[in-house]
Amino acid sequence: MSQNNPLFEPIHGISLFDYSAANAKLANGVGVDTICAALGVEIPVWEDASQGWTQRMQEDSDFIVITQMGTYFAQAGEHPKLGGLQAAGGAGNAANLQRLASDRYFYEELCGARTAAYEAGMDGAQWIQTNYGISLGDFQEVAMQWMQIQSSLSDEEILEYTNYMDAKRQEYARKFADENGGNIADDVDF
Amino acid sequence: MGLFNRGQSQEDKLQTETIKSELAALESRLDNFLAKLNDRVDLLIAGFIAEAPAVMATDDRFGQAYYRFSSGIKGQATNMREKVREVMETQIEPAYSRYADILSAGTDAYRLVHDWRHRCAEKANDWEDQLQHRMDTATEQVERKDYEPIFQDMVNQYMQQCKSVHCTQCGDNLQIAQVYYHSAYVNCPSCNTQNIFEPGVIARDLEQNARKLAEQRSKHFMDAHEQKRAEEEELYQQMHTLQLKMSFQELQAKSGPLYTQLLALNQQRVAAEDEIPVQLDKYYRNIFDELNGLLPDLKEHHEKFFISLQNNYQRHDSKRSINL
Amino acid sequence: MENDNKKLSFIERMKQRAVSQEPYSGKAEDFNPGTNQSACPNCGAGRARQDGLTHCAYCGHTFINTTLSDGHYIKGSDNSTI
Repeated sequence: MSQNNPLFEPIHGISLFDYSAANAKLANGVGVDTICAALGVEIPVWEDASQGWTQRMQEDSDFIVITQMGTYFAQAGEHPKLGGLQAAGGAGNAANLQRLASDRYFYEELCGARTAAYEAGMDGAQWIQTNYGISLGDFQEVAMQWMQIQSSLSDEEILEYTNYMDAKRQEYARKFADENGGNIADDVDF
Repeated sequence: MGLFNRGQSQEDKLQTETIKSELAALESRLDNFLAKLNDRVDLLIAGFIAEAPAVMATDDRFGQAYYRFSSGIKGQATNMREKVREVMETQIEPAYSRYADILSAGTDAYRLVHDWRHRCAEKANDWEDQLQHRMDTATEQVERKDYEPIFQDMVNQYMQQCKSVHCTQCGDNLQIAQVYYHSAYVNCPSCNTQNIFEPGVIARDLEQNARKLAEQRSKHFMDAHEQKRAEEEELYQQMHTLQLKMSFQELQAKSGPLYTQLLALNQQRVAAEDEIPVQLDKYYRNIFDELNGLLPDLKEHHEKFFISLQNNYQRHDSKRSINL
Repeated sequence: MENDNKKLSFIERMKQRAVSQEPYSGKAEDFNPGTNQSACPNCGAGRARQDGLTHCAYCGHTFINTTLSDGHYIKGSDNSTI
């Protein structure tokens, strides 16, 4: 990789891997104090470094920093200092998380459900947390893992998954609408 | 065959009439369906505009409740769009295929069916475009804010709040005179102790609001950019219409009054086309000039950010290749 | 009109749902500027600018394990020299 690229220089000793894994953990509900303690810094140092990484991504017209951040985000669990950190609420539902990472259809179903939840005026991330015990950070980490293998799939496979997700989105949209008294135009027929 | 010619043609006529009335009935049902949906769009948009301010008034600083509310409203528009697509797929297209499969191309009946399908598709597309346009306009109306007073109030409030921030060691005032976007070590001017200073939510949201204000102050360049784009498109269409009017000879000879007119139009078009990226560049440059004025300590970053953005939008610059 | 009311109550229902949902990371809290304790947790000494940010000048306690570089508010010169 671009080891010699100044865009990848750690900021206050916080590398892009540290920054990416920390963000995955923050999205999982791990407190910023816990992250800082694990990285061995105080909050002003972490925040100064965070601002620096955000700025580098904005200054990088080739998107190499943000692309690499996505890769690291998917590897958050392997981070030597941060990998094992869990939110105060616990690790969530390990069986569902395992299934999300191994069963593409299950992953697509939850993607569809999440979109449907937002389109129904609900918080999709919270819906997944409540119903499946999967936190946003874990969900995104798995999403990145699926994205990494996307290029090895055939067009037919990709289409199959996309269609599956859309069918699930519609199924959940119906369910969420029914829970709230229906859609505005349900009674308008051709 | 000759014997039945007359009979067949009458049969054809009869068939055409039957098809015509069946398709007209379907088309009128489509018109009614779209009109009924439009009534619901009216209600949806009126409700959105009426209720959004109340949602915003009690919202948190990230606007999370409004985000859910507007996503839900957009979800309803999506639901109606899907209803229309389903009708096109299950009612209009099958009717078209049923006839298109048995009619021979070139007959009146075939043309009738073909035109009908085209007209219905246009109606559905226009309806979708209208819906999109109305949703965009409503969203813009609901979310419109004047960032001039908002930004100024934020700065004033922050500076006011900072007056009561004291050193944890000696209790003296820290005399904070600058905006901190995130927590920082701040030295006490009296006892020289390093304090960990938390700037509060106003300072943390300031950069985001400065960007909105800078965009607001630069909007006239974006308007000019879009204006030039529309102008170029309009001139291009005029050229196209003119070319259709010209004979093959005129086009070949590259002379004559219409050809002169065509060249003049193209000259105007090229001038407009050249202005499209110029205005866009002015827009972004102005945003960053404004930002440099609003948040001068971030100037170095702003300049690098501008170059990165510029590299990206210049990559998408494209001009028509027209050979006259 | 009755129909209008029925449909307006649809908007009301949507609004209720949007407002009452608990967002994933909770409602953002507002907080004002202030100072947090920065004294050494080991010996209680205050930290002075000239001592640098990374270590306690009195007992040598490590506040920050990493090496500071040039960031926005924090600079490489803020590393303690002891």
